[in-house]
Amino acid sequence: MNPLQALAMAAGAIRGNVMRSFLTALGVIIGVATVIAVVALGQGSRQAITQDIQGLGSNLITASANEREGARFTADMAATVAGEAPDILAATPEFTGNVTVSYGTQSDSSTSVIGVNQDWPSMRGAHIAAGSFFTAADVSSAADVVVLGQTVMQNLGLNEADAIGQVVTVDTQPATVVGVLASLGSSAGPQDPNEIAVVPYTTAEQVAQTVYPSALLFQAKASKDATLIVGTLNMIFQSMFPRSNSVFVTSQDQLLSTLSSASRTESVTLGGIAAISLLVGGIGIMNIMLVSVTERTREIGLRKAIGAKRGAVLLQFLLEAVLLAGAGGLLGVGAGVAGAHLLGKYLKTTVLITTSSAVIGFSFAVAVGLIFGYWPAASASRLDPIVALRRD
Amino acid sequence: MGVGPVIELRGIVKTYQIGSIPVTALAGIDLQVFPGEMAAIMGPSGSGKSTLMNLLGCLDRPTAGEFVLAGRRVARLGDDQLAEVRNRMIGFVFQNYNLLPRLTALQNVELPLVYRGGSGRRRRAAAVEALERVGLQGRLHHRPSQLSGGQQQRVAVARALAGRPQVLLADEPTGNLDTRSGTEVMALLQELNAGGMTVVLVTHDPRIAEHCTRVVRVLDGRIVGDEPVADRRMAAAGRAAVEGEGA
Ligand SMILES: Nc1ncnc2c1ncn2[C@@H]1O[C@H](COP(=O)(O)OP(=O)(O)OP(=O)(O)O)[C@@H](O)[C@H]1O
Ligand SMILES: [Mg+2]
Repeated sequence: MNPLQALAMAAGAIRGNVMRSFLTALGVIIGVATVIAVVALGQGSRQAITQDIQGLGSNLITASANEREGARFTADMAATVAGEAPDILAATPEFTGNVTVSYGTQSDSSTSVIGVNQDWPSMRGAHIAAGSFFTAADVSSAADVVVLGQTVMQNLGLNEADAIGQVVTVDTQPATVVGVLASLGSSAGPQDPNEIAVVPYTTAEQVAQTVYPSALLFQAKASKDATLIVGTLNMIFQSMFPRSNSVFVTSQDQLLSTLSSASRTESVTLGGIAAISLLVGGIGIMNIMLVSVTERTREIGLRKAIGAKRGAVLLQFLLEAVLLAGAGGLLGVGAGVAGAHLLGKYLKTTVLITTSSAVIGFSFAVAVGLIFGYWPAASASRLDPIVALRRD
Repeated sequence: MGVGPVIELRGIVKTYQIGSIPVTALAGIDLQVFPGEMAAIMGPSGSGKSTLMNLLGCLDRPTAGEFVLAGRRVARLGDDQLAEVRNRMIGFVFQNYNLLPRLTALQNVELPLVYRGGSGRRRRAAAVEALERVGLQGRLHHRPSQLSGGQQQRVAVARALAGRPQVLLADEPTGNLDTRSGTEVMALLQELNAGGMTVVLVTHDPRIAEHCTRVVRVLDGRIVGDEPVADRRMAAAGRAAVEGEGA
């Protein structure tokens, strides 16, 4: 018997009882749909976080001091440390604080002020929308200049065309707006990344009223150097602050690898869920196939009586199970994709549906059909024609 | 050529084991059926007629004895080899038709050829031809539920014929039919027999047996009588008579 004939027979049996076939495949449908949807949500959020981390700047290495362990940075440490470590492109201290920026009657009272040097935009991956960033000269002369983030600018009632040259007040200190930053897509924390005012670190002491930089930022020449640099920096800081845990050095790469190990754990969990739901679906298929073999004992007996060999009967019933599971897999992929989009819309998160997750989901469904369909099919093929025909 | 028997049974024994009690259904059967014969097997209920037919049809294996079918020893063949023999050498007609309800008449008749393999077009042509021979060319796409009992049995005969077997075996082919449909089926079997087909059938009805060339009587698993039919009844004439009555 040729396989096409067997396929036609199997398809005929499935079409003969659409509702039951659908219910039989439902376990597989739900299993595959769940996996597709959850993977889509997981990969979507992972992609979003990855972009956030990459958005923090290119090859950025951050050293933060743990004040409780008595570690304190000074502004000149950035340059000193950068001089001792290899392959560092740029370095800046970073002062941070919360200020109120006002202009005329308008003000923004939850602005984060950032005191850095002229290299900050390239390190942080920030672009200038209007005007220019402050210069090295501004830094060394502690000029009263400020570069505004988009949100602050808007809250002050300014726009990119008229903001440059205006004098705003940062807490009590007047400062001239020299530039406006283009919108920053991401931040390391929960605040609005655009509600910032960037000033030369030399003026930060007055405006932010902080004496010590909260972090030192370094930019590696290439991302492959980052791990090595982190190690070197750790050693340097170790000699400066002997108490352990006093300085915490992280690179973007480390964040990404932490994330990917977290998502590996997530994948393993997902794999477990997938395996269990497909197991349940498979048992459903096996159950109905066994019932079907019992119900169709006479049919099997007749087929054997007129010359069907074991293999032909096995093939017919196995194909029936595989078709059921495969159709369930296809419907499951469809339902999963639709469900992921709906969930994404509802939860307002990114969903990422990859071809590979669809292909894997479908293949697993087919494999389930093969595995769980084999036993019923084998028992059908072993029926004795005379016994099968006598049964009613 | 054509002198050897198409069916030869020597010392056939069939014992069923029910728990620890052996039940002997056939207790040593010797039988030869020659090409072109039309033999009726008769006997009381439980005498072993169906057991014998199932052995002849290679649906079952004897406990002991030798079965030579068209020169081939089949008593010890494996499952798949027996399936092959059933497919190519035997046409089996059951009392209850045993058509697959989801398939059309044509698809039912095609089924043995599907298991034989080969091209779809030739298969279809052979099935159509077989249905024409049983007079059902107008019912190719009917399902069994849309056919009368007599028509269903004729589809079953067509299915048995489609593979051009050496012998046609029928276990009470008219058992579920009224006299008229029964006569029609007998007319068909006689016509096939006249064309050279060897036919063996089981019946309770002496009138049906009279349509054959030979009657074999079975009792308690043994052959107790085997004689030619002296005055063979022709079903075509009988059918005319039935139709005459109706007119
Ligand atoms: N599968 C079986 N298991 C046990 N005993 C069986 C089996 N099949 C048949 N028998 C026994 O074998 C004997 C012959 O049965 P068989 O069916 O051949 O009779 P039969 O002549 O066809 O009867 P009927 O005219 O009622 O159809 C009976 O005693 C029956 O009980
Ligand atoms: Mg019987």
